Amino acid sequence: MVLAITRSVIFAKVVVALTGLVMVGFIIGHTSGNLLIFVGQDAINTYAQGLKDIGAALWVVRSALIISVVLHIYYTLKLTALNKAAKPIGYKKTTYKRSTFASRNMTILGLTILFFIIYHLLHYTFQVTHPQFKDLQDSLGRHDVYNMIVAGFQNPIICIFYILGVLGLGYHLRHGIQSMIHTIGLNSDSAKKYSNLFAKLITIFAVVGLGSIPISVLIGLVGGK
Amino acid sequence: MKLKLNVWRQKDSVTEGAFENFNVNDVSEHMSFLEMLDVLNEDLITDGKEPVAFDHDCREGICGSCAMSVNGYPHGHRKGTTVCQLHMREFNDGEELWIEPFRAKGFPVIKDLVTDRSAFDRIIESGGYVSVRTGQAQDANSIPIRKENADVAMDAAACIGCGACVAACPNGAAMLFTSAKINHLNLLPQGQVEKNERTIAMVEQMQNEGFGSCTNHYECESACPKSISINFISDMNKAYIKSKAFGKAGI
Ligand code: HEM
Ligand code: FES
Repeated sequence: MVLAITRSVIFAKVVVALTGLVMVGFIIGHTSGNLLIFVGQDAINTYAQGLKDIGAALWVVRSALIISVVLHIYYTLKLTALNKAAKPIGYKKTTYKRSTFASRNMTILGLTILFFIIYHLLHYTFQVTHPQFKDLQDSLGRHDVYNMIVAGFQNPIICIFYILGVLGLGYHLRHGIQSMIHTIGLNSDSAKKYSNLFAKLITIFAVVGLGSIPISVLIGLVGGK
Repeated sequence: MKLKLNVWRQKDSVTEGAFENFNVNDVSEHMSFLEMLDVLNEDLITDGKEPVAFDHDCREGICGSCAMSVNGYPHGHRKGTTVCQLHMREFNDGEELWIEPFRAKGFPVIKDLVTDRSAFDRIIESGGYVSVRTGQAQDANSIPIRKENADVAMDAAACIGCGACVAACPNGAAMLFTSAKINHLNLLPQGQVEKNERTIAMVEQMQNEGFGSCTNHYECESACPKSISINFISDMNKAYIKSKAFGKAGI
């Protein structure tokens, strides 16, 4: 039985890897942008206004991102189901030599991220959970993203939720980036060494970068009187 | 030495199995794991009981017949060793061991520790043939091969097809086995003629047999008694996509 290429597991794996790469690119950009909050109110509000001013082109990037998220989830859930079915019975004594907490929990970590993304969009992007965020303006009449973030992180429960979401992302990236590099065929000794380093660096950047924001607001380092 | 064994007993492929406990005494640390089971079976036969069924043939670590998991490790915990070559000195006196068949949907249990691994034969079969010149045997060194390719092809050819990779993989994937077999031929000049068809056919047969897919746990590589490298999986992915997308154009 000859398979259509789209039905092959290797095709699915490559789609997961490439869409993962797009999302990793987004995470790097998003983290860098958010870190502007430490530069100050003007810096992050200017950046946010700048993104808005891109207009239609921003939607091209957003569309690519949305398509990536949808394809990534579709194919990972499909592969997870296939892999579960291929191993119906485990061993009495489960022993692992090389797999990690992250590698064994990629799907559940990914779904945690999905749940987090949905709340995050409702919180800061569409401001459904906090409609009062819509009216925040700075002295130049721009949407005051700085104070929106500060106000959004006044509630410790929300902060803890964000920190857990970011930790989930961290584990997912730690395994995912290395796995992605191997899946798409970069497997020389030096590629393996650098993929491991690369995965660690991006993970640390994303976890420390994103996690530092709610913590800084909470302890008054950002937005404190 | 003395051991407490919990051995998976299963009458046939349809009956449900369960662990049976045995105490074995007088185990010499120089015995292989299979010899230890032979001693157990002799006792069982003397007592008029059904001996434990397990696969074996060469007992030299080269045929790939022996297959069982000890404490959840296919072929036991020792790196780069088949269970027939695993010695009892690797265990402690009084230790309790859990002995199970290789677990995967692609390897249904036939009886006790014996599984049906014929899916591997069908993957090999689907690879077809390689075209060679018939006629007089040519001089052994008349086809030049890059030294690096010859070395890596030899590493791939070390696969004995035992199935430990599938048994170790949390996803029940057969990608280490399949990729070793595909790369073994793809790396050599003799394998070039049918490279595209072979790569596609073997990957798809693997999938049709119900094996899972790789998520880079790297359990296969560490369980493999021949330490086959997961690099072959990466190369197989590239070769499959290339053959599938561009193979017809003859690239
Ligand atoms: C939204 C829900 C998500 C789910 C359900 C999900 C699930 C998964 C699963 C099951 C894998 C395969 C695991 C493996 O190959 O070991 C995976 C891989 C990956 N994911 Fe996600 N993920 C999600 C979101 C994300 C996000 C937001 C990012 C990026 C920031 C991301 C980046 C990656 C990367 C880079 C890989 C590696 C691809 C590979 O192994 O070839 N994922 N994901
Ligand atoms: S019996 Fe031949 S490899 Fe173990």
